[in-house]
Amino acid sequence: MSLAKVKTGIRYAMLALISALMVFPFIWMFLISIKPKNEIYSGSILPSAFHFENYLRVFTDTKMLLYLWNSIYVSLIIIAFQIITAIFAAYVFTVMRKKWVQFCFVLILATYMLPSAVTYIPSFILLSKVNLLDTHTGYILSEFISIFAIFFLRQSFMQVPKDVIDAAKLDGAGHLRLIFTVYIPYCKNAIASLVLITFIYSYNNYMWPSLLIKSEENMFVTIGLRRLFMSQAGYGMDFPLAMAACAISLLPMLILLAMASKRIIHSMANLYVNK
Amino acid sequence: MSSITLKSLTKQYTEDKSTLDHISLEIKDKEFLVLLGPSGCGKSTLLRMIAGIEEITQGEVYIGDAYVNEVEPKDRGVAMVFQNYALYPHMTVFENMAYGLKIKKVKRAEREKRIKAAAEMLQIDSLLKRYPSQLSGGQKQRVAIGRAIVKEPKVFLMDEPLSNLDAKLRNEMRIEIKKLHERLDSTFIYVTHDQVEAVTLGDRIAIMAEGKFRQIGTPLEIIECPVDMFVASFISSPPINYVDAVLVNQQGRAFVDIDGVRVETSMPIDVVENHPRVVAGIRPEHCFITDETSNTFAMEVLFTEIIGTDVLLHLTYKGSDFIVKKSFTKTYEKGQKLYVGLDASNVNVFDKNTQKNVRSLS
Ligand SMILES: Nc1ncnc2c1ncn2[C@@H]1O[C@H](COP(=O)(O)OP(=O)(O)OP(=O)(O)O)[C@@H](O)[C@H]1O
Ligand SMILES: [Mg+2]
Repeated sequence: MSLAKVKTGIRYAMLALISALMVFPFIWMFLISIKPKNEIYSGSILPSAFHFENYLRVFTDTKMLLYLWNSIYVSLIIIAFQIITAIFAAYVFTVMRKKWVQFCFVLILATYMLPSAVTYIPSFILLSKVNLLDTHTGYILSEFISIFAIFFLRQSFMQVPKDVIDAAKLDGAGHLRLIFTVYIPYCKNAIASLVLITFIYSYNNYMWPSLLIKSEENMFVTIGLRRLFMSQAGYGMDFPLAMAACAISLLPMLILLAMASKRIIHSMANLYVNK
Repeated sequence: MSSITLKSLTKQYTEDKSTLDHISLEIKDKEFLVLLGPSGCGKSTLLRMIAGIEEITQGEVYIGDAYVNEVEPKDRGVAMVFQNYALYPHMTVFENMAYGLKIKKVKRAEREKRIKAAAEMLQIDSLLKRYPSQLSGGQKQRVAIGRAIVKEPKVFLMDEPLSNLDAKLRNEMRIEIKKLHERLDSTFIYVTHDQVEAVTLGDRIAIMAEGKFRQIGTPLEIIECPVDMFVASFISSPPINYVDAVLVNQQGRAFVDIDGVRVETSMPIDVVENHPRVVAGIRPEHCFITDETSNTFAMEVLFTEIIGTDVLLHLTYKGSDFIVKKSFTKTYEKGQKLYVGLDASNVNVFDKNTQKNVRSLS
């Protein structure tokens, strides 16, 4: 066996080990979700009987379906707004090399350095002034623009070769046409990654929505899951039910990942691998 | 009317250095101007400024009679073939060529007709559905030319458009570009490194160095009378031979004397008086091999290089290289002694200090 083969072997073994570590909590979650309640602390890994009805109970006994719907549709709206605003902002910051424009960019980036917790109180006061507390509109408004998205897209817009842009200008493309027929198609992989990142962030977001959203019918999955744990604390946790709910809450992300994984790998390779 | 006038055009990328330094030039309507110069002398920068995609630091550009400094690139009526192709990577070859036409609202049928004609001419009609990443360098280059052709612009700017083609295709394309120029009534500015291209295509050639024009003239003018040693070297391929010489006045006639070998030149006699010590530039094709031992140079063969039907004899003369080009009719051995004679009328002489052609100094 050659040295190269040994090296590849070691590399694969490492990757397999790390993957196993990553996947293990999810498998554990799934196993608990189908165990009978009394086997949770038994220490055996496989359940004695499979209780898939826990998954049905998530929909009948809890409001998970409503939470899921809230999370998904609000996240989708946020993605749309964040990406559209980021595309235009990134375009300006890529194309206009004037000093004051670049200064604005630095200023915007600087606000990204602020810990988000610092913004909770002023945002809360602002939203209360316009009567948007405990509404989806209020939440969407506060997540309308993502500085990370602007930064991320600017980085990938800068990769578009200057000559290609110049060629398009010579061909007669104006700003909008440049954006839609050159920048966006050129950066489609980066945008796909951004969609996924934005979705995960927004879907996972817990702290800020938990401050903002109070009423049951407006709740998101993250807050809902927490309520599921809290509400039963008194009578001994229904862990299998909670784990089934967790598993279901993962589904949208897994679906999205499956759809976009190819492009994401592509864009990561483009970002970090020197060609 | 699509003449181009540059008035004192200057480009500074950084404060302290001028990439283009007060360049002035008039290019006539329908003229084919070739820009020739070493890498980094500012050829691409000049084209980009004419196209309007590079900011002008100072000076004026006119296309026709219009002052275009402030005119958008798309409204200047120019098409450019970029040095590195600059194809749209996410569009097929066909879409690449159609992009500009769509924006100009050219009708679909007309679009397809033009693209088909250009693709046939450039021998890329079988590639129309491919993406640029699936093309070779030479194919990309032809697509880039095609994208410019279909726009039927008033002014063509071509930045080394044939540099990536093989010899045969390059010859074919050169002829196609020549035909294109005759057919289209457009003004061409064409950047190249290739002397053959420059001489065969150009109505005039502008030789650049370090952001300035050294000489602008017809191919004949530049070949016959290069203004300095830089131009003479640049336009000559294979490289020109330089040997120290003296000018002598022999009974009122001007002679170049190279180590006793004398050839007469048509130089005014006062130049001879003013520039006794010079460098003679002898082009490899203006020498001949002879059995005559008087008024010739004795040289030794270093090696030979066969180029098609010609042969380049690399010789040594007084320790430095000397190249003679002749048709390939005979083989020569390394170390063989030869006698080299000069064609009288074709010797240019340069001042030893200033490197300028003494004829232009008179
Ligand atoms: N964007 C830029 N910023 C700073 N300097 C630049 C820029 N573009 C070109 N230059 C400099 O300007 C000079 C001329 O560049 P240009 O591309 O016009 O050369 P060129 O004559 O086309 O050379 P080549 O034959 O290699 O293509 C070079 O010294 C180059 O380094
Ligand atoms: Mg160049």
